Amino acid sequence: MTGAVAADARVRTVPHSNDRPAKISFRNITKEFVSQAGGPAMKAIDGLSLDIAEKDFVCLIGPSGCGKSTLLNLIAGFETATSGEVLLDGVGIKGPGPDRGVVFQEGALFPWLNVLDNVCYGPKRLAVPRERYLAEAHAILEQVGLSAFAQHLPAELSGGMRQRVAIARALINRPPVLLMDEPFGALDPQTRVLMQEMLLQIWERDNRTVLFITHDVEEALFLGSRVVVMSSRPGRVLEDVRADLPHPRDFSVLGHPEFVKVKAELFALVREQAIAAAADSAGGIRSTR
Amino acid sequence: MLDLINLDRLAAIGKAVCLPVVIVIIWAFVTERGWVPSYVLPSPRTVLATLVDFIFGGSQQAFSGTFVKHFLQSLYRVAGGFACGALLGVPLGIVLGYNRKIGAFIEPTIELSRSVPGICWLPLALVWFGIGTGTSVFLIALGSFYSIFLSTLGGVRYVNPVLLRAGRSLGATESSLLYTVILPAAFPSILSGLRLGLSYSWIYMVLGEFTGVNYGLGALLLQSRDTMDTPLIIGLMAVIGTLGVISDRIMLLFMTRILGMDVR
Repeated sequence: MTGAVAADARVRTVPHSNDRPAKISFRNITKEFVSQAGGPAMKAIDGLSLDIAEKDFVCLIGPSGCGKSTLLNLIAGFETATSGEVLLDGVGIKGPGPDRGVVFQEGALFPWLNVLDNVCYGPKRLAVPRERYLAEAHAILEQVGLSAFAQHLPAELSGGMRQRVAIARALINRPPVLLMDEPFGALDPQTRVLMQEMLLQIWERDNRTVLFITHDVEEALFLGSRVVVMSSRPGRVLEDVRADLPHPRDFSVLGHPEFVKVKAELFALVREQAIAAAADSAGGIRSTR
Repeated sequence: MLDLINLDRLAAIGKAVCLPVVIVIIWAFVTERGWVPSYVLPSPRTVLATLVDFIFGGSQQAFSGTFVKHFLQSLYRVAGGFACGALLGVPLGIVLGYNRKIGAFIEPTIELSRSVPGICWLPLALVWFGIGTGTSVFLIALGSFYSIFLSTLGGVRYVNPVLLRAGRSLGATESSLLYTVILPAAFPSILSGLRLGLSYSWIYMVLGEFTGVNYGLGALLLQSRDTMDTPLIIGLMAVIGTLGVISDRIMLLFMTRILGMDVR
């Protein structure tokens, strides 16, 4: 496994080339937020274009406030762009829908439903026959290792278990696109690595198109088939690299010299942007005085 | 394990009971010694005897054994008024919380009318409904409505937006979102609004019966002031307070049963 990494891990074969048709397209997206206090509009994203091919696992990294989550919310249909187009299979996004599964930062499980009912929420809304979704729910819970907790309420689970339920709940609808907004950000490092490996196993098996938001460079490089680095606000695409580490991957990749080297390069890039963002907000503070 | 929990509960109850016991001991001490005139503050023994007489009968007093009669009158008014307040407050709260456009037309008016204290409605209610059950029910409905309405509205309107996003991206339509996410999420707020509304109902029941009706716990409370029957006054205060607690418990039990059934 590790031998193959050395040969294949020319991670920085920039730029990324689109050899497959785009599943998701951002075309010249600008997103402004109007201040509630009536001040000038804040530009979160400025003229961003990005194509995501089918079956790509794209990790989006960048400093806080660079518009990563906004980008995800645009495809999810939770927000609309100020200008530009967001396309799924060439068709404009109208609103949220079950063809795009979303896993949120903090689970967002329904606290009044037990684990099984949370997982079955989607298929029930989509009028899937009961015997079928029950069988699928049990299979998916088995896959994420939570069969024994089907009758538990979310409040009785740990953070990692809750995120596994959230992933199961999104996967049961079999969405062609999976959108994940820093899903492991609140987990402890040990749990996080286990969750990453579980997610990779799932992706290696059914190759969904995934957009994964994180501010952790190592996580992005470990999970993604492609890593996109965003600039500080207003967000633009700064770097777009293929992460051609071989599959199946496991945590042993993390210590490989090539992995470490690329990680350091990407980290330097993100750090520059974080410094720029910090200077920007410090300037903002000074100017208001 | 079970024993431990019970011990903890016993300890908590023991701590809670300490202060009331001390108060009753001091109360008994100063009254039995005759330091306070009995028409100002009768002894606990006298109050208890009056209460037993009021509930179970046995003496020649006018109020002897009349608890059930007065209680049923008051209960009738509380139940009627609270039902009106809830039947108006819950649906209106859901509709206005769910649809801000309709809310913009109606909410400011409700907010404005809320600044008129409930007691101020008493004279107008008397003109409209006369002395009796009508006025009481109206005041109780009014008093319970606002807390029920506002809690329901807040619960429905301020559902965690992430839950709405989750529901929509899992395939919920706007109407199924109301039943599968918004109402279950708002349920605790609705329940606390109903509990608050019920406690207001008992308060406005007393106010409504102070207008001079013949029967009812509030009416008897006012009458016992006229006869300077201090033991009965204190006894009735305790009875009304206890009924408030009991009705709250019953409703809590009832609603959580519904929670268990309804929400899945």
